[in-house]
Amino acid sequence: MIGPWRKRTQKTESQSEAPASALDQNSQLTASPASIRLHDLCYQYPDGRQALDHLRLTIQAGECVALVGPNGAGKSTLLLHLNGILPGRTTGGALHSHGADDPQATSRRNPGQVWIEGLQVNTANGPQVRRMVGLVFQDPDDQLFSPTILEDVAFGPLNLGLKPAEARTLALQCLERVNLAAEAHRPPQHLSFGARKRACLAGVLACNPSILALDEPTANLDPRGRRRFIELIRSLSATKLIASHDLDMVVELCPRTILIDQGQVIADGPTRAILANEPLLSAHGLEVPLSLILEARTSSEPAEKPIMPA
Amino acid sequence: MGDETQISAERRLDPRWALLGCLGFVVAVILTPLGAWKALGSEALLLAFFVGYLGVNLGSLARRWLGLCPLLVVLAVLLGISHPARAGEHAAGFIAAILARNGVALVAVLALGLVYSAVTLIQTLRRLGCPALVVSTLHFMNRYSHVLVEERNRMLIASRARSFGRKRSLWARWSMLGNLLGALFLRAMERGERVHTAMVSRGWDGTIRSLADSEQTR
Repeated sequence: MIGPWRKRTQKTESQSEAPASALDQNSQLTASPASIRLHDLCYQYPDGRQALDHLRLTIQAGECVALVGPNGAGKSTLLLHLNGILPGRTTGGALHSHGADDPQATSRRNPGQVWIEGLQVNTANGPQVRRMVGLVFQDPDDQLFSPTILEDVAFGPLNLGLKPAEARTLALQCLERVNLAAEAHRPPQHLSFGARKRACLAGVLACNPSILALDEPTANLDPRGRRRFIELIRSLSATKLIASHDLDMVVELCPRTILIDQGQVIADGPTRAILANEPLLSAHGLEVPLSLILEARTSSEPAEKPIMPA
Repeated sequence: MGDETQISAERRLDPRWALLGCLGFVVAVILTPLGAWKALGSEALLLAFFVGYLGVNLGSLARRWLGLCPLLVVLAVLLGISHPARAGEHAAGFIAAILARNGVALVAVLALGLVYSAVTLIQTLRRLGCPALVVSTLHFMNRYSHVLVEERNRMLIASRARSFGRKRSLWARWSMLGNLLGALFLRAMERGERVHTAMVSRGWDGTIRSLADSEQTR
């Protein structure tokens, strides 16, 4: 969903300085801009390690895409780029800004670029991009910093310019959606881990993003919490990019999977084709998910005869 | 002490009055001349009335007060020995007077902390006109003190799990504590960066906004 505040005054994808060859590669973009497009995105950690290495990918509106790969592959770093939190850089040094254009950052930006719904991500239009992309962090304690859950969920809407009364109503609606309305006035530290995760999602939904980027959404959840969270994600209509090691969840939720390692796209295609490819997965520190193994076994084995009572 | 005690206390006395009253009481106690035992006794009686009226859990109050007592004693001794107003008076009596005065003030502050939650008290500060930036900082301190305590506990458990019950020298224990605090500090710094990132990703532009007020403070 797109809010009334989203004015497309910034440079759009078709007007940008992207190399023509890059646009040719994505012929799908000609009709409507992709939800997410990364072109030759590079990023170095402050210690000089290459996190993202000329990464290219395109995700269309409404897709639910999994981002898989071993630890340190660059999944979380990629998600942070989607809303301009981490601008591309070739040298070290933090480049956080509150949306104001930072000339130093601009000068250090490498040629790699990110477009969100046709809008090029840079420090100048960071605030606009952040309205479109909702980022759910892996650790809920990083995201829930307000004294109460209600205050936290209302944080985004207040920053978007809503009046306190409107923000409160919206926050309560979002909490209702994740089944946490009864806990609205409780401090985050008094909630279970699963409830805190759902509160994080409510906080992001309150900003009404058209793209959801979820970093390890099911990590550390018990089976019931995990199931509840998966159903919640499934119920959302936004474009979803899910970075996860929970490959069974990926099989269940995402028709498309992108495998990245050492900051590069290794494979991009249908989830079942990629996650059933054992040599590919083991070469990149992953395993075939149990659900696919069981599925293969049951289809290859003859059905067991039912045990009949004597 | 649970939520019920707090709700009942809030019904009996608005947190604003409680906070202002406590502040006024502490100032009055500190201004009471040393050795004015009757005045101090009256103040202690007044405090006892409010402690009973607000339903403060006496066990918790005593435990917390006794926990802070060593600090009070050290301060009283340091002040009592060097205080210019002592002028030949016996040090023990002077120290006892300081200890009594500070002890009563401490009871008032602890009682306030027991009947009202930290969140309520910080929100009350905002309602009393405290700057939003200060209030937000206090909220962050309160919120992340719990996270840091949890992390400290996990680190202590991990350390004990690998100490195999071996007794360590005082120096080794202090050294371990130093390492633990250093690691905790670094983790807190990293956490701070991640929290900042999470705030920026939800549109924070450096301005503190709250549901509690429509004002915006930079």
